[in-house]
Amino acid sequence: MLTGFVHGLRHLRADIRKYLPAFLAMAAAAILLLATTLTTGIAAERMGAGVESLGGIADVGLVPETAGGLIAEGQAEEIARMPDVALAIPTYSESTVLRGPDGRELTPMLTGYPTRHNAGLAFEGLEGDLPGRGAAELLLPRDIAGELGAGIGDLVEVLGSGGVEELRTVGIVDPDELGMMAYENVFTDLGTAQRLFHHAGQVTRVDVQVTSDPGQWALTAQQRLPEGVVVQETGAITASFAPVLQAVGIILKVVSGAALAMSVLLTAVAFSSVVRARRRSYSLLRTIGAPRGWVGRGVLTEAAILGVLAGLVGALIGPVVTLGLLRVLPGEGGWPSFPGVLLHAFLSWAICVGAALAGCAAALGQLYARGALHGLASADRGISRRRRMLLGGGGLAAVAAAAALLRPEGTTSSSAVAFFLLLTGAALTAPLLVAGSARLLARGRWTLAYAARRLSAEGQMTAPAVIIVIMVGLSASLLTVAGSLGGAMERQIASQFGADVQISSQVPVREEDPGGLRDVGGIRRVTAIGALDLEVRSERPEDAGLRTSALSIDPSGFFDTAELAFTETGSKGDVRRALDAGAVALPESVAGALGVGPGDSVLLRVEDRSVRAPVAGVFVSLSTGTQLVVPRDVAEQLGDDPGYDAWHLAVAEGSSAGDVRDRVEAAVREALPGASVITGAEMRDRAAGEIATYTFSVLGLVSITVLVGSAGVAGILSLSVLRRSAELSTLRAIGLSAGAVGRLLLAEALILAVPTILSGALAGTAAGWALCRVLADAMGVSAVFHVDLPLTCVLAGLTLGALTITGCWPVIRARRTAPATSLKSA
Amino acid sequence: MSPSSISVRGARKVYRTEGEHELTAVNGIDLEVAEGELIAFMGPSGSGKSTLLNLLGGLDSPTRGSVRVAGREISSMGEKELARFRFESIGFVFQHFHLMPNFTVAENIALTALIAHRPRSQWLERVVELLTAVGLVDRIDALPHTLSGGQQQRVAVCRAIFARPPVLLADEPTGNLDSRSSAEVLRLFRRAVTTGPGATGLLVTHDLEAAVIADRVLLLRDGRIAGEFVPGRGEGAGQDEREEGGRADRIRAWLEASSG
Ligand SMILES: Nc1ncnc2c1ncn2[C@@H]1O[C@H](COP(=O)(O)OP(=O)(O)OP(=O)(O)O)[C@@H](O)[C@H]1O
Ligand SMILES: [Mg+2]
Repeated sequence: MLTGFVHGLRHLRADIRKYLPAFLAMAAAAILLLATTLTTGIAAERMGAGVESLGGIADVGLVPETAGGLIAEGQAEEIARMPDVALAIPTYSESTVLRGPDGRELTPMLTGYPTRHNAGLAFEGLEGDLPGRGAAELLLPRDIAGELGAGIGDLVEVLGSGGVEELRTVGIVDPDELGMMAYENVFTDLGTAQRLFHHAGQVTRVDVQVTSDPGQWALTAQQRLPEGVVVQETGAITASFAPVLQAVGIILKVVSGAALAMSVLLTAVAFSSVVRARRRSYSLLRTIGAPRGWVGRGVLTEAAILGVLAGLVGALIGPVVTLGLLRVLPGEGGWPSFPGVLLHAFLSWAICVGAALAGCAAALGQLYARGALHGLASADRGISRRRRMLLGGGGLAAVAAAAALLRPEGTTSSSAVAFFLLLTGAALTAPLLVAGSARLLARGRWTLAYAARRLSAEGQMTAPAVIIVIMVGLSASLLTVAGSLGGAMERQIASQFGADVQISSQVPVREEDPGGLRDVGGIRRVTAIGALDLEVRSERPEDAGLRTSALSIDPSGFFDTAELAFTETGSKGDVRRALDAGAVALPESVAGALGVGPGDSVLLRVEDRSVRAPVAGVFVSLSTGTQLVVPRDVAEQLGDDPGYDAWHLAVAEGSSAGDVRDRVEAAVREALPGASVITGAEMRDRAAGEIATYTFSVLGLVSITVLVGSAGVAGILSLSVLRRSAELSTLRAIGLSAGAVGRLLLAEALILAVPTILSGALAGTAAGWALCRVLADAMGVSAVFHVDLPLTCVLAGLTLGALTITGCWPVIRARRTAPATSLKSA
Repeated sequence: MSPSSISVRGARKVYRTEGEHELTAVNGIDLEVAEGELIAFMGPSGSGKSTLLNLLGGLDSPTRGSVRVAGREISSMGEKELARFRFESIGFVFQHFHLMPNFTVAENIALTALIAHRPRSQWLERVVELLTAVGLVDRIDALPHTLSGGQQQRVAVCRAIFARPPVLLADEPTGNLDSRSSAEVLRLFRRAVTTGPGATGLLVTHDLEAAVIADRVLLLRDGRIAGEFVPGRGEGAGQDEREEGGRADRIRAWLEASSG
């Protein structure tokens, strides 16, 4: 018995070649979808793991309210006396540099804990002893001890605020025993840590063990905690990483969404052309009495099988692609459980099947709309001119709306809407554009005229035109994002980190001239830079403040060695003078968030001290986020001297930066272990390298998009060659060589590709700017519109290359059309 | 007799079908056709008529044997040479018309001129002349899908004879037409052969009414020429209907005798 399903199965076998492009596109979309969801999930997981490891040893962590603040030990004792508190452990932690006995260096967190609790700490397999009270002693986890090459009794150099000190390793412990604290921590006595970093009587956190439910305790304790102390919200830390994740997620989602859209489009084309080719046999079936549903079930069966298979391919290859993507991401682990992977795989598989069914909907519509006799009528001629005009009008309106939304004062969501409107608008106008350019060429010489007339008369090429616009538009927008963010970053780094030689230390030190830099030859000027955490707010009392960090600089020295990439084009000299007079420079992201600019004032606060400072200028801040620049005397008014952790050097005339770097490296080796000393040129190279890495990953995404799109376009073109075999073979019979027929196809492809690539590139660049704003907002930074010309050329080359390679397929198919076919086929 | 326009010696065409089966569609044919002659091939379905026509028109090459058309040996030509040969020497008329859908009637007729990049001014006159002869000059700028089947086939014949090729080939040109349109198309074809300078016509048909315009009728069976009949020379276009009916009867009688 021939059921509708069996019928569909047979048809599928017969037309397998026509379905190939749609199948590949669906599989690619499924792969992208799965890889995207898995990767973003894993990235979040890794971040979470990183945050967890910052968490403490007990039930609830208490930290200072203000960034960079500290908790007094007296407050810690107050906390220990609070109800339901079984134990309160104050600790002092600071990231520092350790140097082992044989010179190997590491930068872990040095944590001081109250050694009076030693008796309660029972580490199984502890080698040696725990650090003694007030002693210069160190407890190392076994892995760190191994990396440092330090054993019991060995001296380890530690960089503190006052310079290098030696601590003796007294104990080595299994990291597993330490639980969460194992993550890159070494331990000493609390008093020792406080002394090392010049913070006597102060701690960075208090971990509390409670006798009641920790969540409940945290909620009720909040009001009773001492002034300036809050319950640590690990969510807040996650939130600070979230923007980057979100930005990556947005890009990946946009790409897989576009791949999905293209695959639906391709499936739709494949099915409607297959159904069109079969219209005779379908109407015959209907004539001999087959019900419509029977025929429809056949088509649905084909779509379902295609979707199921493509989805399976995606589900199998997706995890492999994910593994590749994970190599690029920082961190380790976080790979979801097998059921988790299975669930994601199932979801993308289901979406793929859905896409296949959606793709065949148009074909089913054709089938159902048509009467039994319709199959013998003439072939339909694609979308009508009126519909094309209507769509084109809609597209233009969308582009106009997007332009209106893209005004400078637009919001994140209006930028996002503009992004979609631009791409959709360009896609809608594509058929009109192709028809229009074809009409211009229709009176040209033979090859052009043939191709042009086909394209202007028939709507068959709607789908490839749309696909090219989507694929080029998306790629151009991604590259614009990469170019804009990368370009801005590069410019900022070039100016702000442009000093001839730069030193940065892991730990801020009090010494303004560590290692006697002034005595090193070949240096014209040295300026020391410190860092502090603070809160900044506008003068409007109702506005919320922003916690961030700041560089404290000596204006004359700083600007003598480097620059800030100011966005305002006022005189640089004025800005420096203003900074000299106690004004501050804001990154564009902070200025935007607070709604302030040059001429306004902001309030800076560290703990209970605050300073009002005018805004001297606003600078591009891509690589430094929300970091402010404040003059040193303002920083001093805000609190204790924060010390110095970076030095900018200007090289004297006649000396080479490389030589100076080598000499400086030797000079500070003792005083600043682990410090990095690099030249401005090296800094720029490093930045360029980092930017190139992420540009390459964007290019990778773009390549996938372009490949999927090109394969789709080639697939549709070769479907159209199959459909036109009678026409092409007639031309062959009349005397056109195979090559000449191939050239007709080439001309078609060119007329199709050139205007659509151009419009896609234009719309995509504008859309890229919109996307750039969305992403910059998500990351809290600012971006400057910048089209990277070499990148754009790479895209154009990539697209043309992919189209050429995949385009060989229909051209070869056209060339193979046998001249004798014209005698047979209708 | 005028010199041979077509000369075939021992032509064989073997198709290799699925499963390594060999199928001999043309099995050793010798044939001489003089300039100005019009030949009709008849025979049962599958007897190799279309295959032979393909060989003669340079659409396909014989497996063995020699095929000389318009003074050139085409059996050993490469693909490019064959295309060139078809372009210069052959005019085709197909059963399914095959006009280019996006080109006007005039452009379809002058297709070879378009392909050779010749400007409209150089070919318009010839197109008007041909269209006037077939009574379609008022449709000169129409698109093919607006014409009836018979009109399309008349345009297709005009296309075939536009460049005055020495050889005209037609495979079932009336297969999709009613008898009135058939008669018009056949008259046109006959006249093209008669009035063309040394043109030779080859016609494959099942239709006795079509065969009557031929000077000779060849019967094909199993890839071989199984018989030849000369129905008596008519006066070409415009001969009277009773005479034509008589010729058709004579061909039918011969066919019945040969297949009996
Ligand atoms: N491309 C091909 N491949 C294999 N076999 C073929 C091919 N073309 C024709 N044949 C076979 O060659 C034989 C002759 O075919 P041909 O088309 O010449 O017949 P015909 O006389 O034109 O028949 P009809 O009157 O039905 O058109 C047939 O048996 C056919 O099946
Ligand atoms: Mg035939």
